[in-house]
Amino acid sequence: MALIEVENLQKSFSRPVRRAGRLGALRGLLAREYVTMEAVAGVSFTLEAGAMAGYLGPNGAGKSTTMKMLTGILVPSGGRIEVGGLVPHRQRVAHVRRIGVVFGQRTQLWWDLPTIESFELLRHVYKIPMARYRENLKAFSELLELGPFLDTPVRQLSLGQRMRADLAAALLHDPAILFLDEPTIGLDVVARERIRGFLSEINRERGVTVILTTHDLSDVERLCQRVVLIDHGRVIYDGGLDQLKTRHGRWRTLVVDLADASCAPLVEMADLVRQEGPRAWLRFDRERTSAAALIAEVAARYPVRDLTVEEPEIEAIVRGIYERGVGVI
Amino acid sequence: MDDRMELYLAVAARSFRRATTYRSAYLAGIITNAFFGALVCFVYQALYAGGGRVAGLSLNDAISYAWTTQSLISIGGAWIVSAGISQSIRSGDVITDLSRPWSFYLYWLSRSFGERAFNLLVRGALTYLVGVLYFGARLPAPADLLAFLPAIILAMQVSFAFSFMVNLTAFWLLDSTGVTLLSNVMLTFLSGFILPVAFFPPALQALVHALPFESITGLPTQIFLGQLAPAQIARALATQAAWAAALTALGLAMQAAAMRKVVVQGG
Repeated sequence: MALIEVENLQKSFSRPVRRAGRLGALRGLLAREYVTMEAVAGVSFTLEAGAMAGYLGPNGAGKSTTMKMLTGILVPSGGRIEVGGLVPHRQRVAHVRRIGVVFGQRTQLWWDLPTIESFELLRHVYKIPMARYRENLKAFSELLELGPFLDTPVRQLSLGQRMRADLAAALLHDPAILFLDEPTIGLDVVARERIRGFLSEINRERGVTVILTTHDLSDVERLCQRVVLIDHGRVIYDGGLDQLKTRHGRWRTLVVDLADASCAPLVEMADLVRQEGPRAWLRFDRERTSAAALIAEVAARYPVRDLTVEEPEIEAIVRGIYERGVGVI
Repeated sequence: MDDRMELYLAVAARSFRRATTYRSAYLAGIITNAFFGALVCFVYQALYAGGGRVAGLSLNDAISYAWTTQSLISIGGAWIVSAGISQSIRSGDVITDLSRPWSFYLYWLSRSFGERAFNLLVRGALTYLVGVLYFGARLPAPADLLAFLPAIILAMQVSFAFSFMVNLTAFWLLDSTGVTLLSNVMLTFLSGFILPVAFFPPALQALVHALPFESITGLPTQIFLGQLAPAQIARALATQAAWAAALTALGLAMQAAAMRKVVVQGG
């Protein structure tokens, strides 16, 4: 049996309708009308123990709602959900002992106290045996370089440090599964890389199953063999990342910094989609043009200062899937 | 409800330590409380200029009463404290706290007690010391201090239980500021914080005796100052205990309702 089994999972919210106009608010108070919004509309997937999967989608696709149901915070409106044989929202306490959760935009650490104090408190919360706690703390301190700020109050930490501390906090009790909601949001490249390295380490060495939501494809590229892509509360792709990109991520962009701002780089194999001063964005189809050929062509014709190839964003891939039709998956 | 005393003691200890980190905040608090304590004393000194007693209280009784209530502000004696709960509801951090293997209620209760223990022992004690040194506020007799101990613990429990409910309204109202303001007005007047309940007209006194707020400030203050006979002390403690139990039960019911709402509607 798979570790995580989700079958036809649904969650709909009813929200009061806000009426426009001067009397709208008053009428809203007297007779509320509700509109039903389907945040998750029949999601199914399974995940084996030890996997590391990306749960992706554009903003508002239903990623966080699914995560909340998986962690037992939200009760589904329909469908079946089982994590390690438990139904998260029914067996919440037993469930939360076996999972670690990090919401990138929130912290579970005590704001005013040194970081180590929150760790100590978690030792009590999860009744972690002292020896195991020390072992884990030592391992995580080394991997995440927590040492320099263990005694610093959390409010004084940088976002990257706080994120690292939050990750350690989520793992101290040796959870089997780690749920991460946007773990790299707002972080710079160095901080991101360190966190990614840590995640692949704990997945490989400790066998922690990791499921992460993100809308940064580079997280997924570095970490996940498996990708579940959702949009409007439905799964639109489930499989390997490579196939996803080759099938649906056709369009890539070459960003060119020209030495001379006055010329527009026009080449046959790509479309000039945007130009701001000396910087130009050229969109090309990876199935027809290789990045190397395009770079050679542009460099031969124009005085180029710098070049970067941008991978397609999740939004572009989602668009690609719709352009080709969902059926082809 | 939960057998995890060790955990809740750890929470309370951290909360106590957290309170110690804001030295300038509690110094400013002491100065403010002492300022108002002094102000009330000047009023009493003017009113009692002719001597005698008012409603059975001498000038020294009234002055001591004023300093005691000022000292109890930071444990919830005058208005809602523990605003952290509603903040965590607004920010969404409450999600993490609700999904821990602990009792959400006991978690906040121990946080609150840790902080209030500090406030009582440091902020409150220092404020009262100002009153003793400069206005001759009365030092309590040992026996009264002994009775004050359960009284103040029960007062903190009643205050916490009430604050918890007020804070929890944020689940439905998104913002509990309005309810907090209204509660503060009731608390300041009906708890006996501003004036001893003995000064109130009989009808108002009857109302105060029928409400829980007196258990937070008026009763422990009277016990502290030795203004109650042993039988009255016993009755006061029983009243406090009854309100503590009733409000805790209500708060737990409210928490269950909030939990249902969150897990169904997503907060």
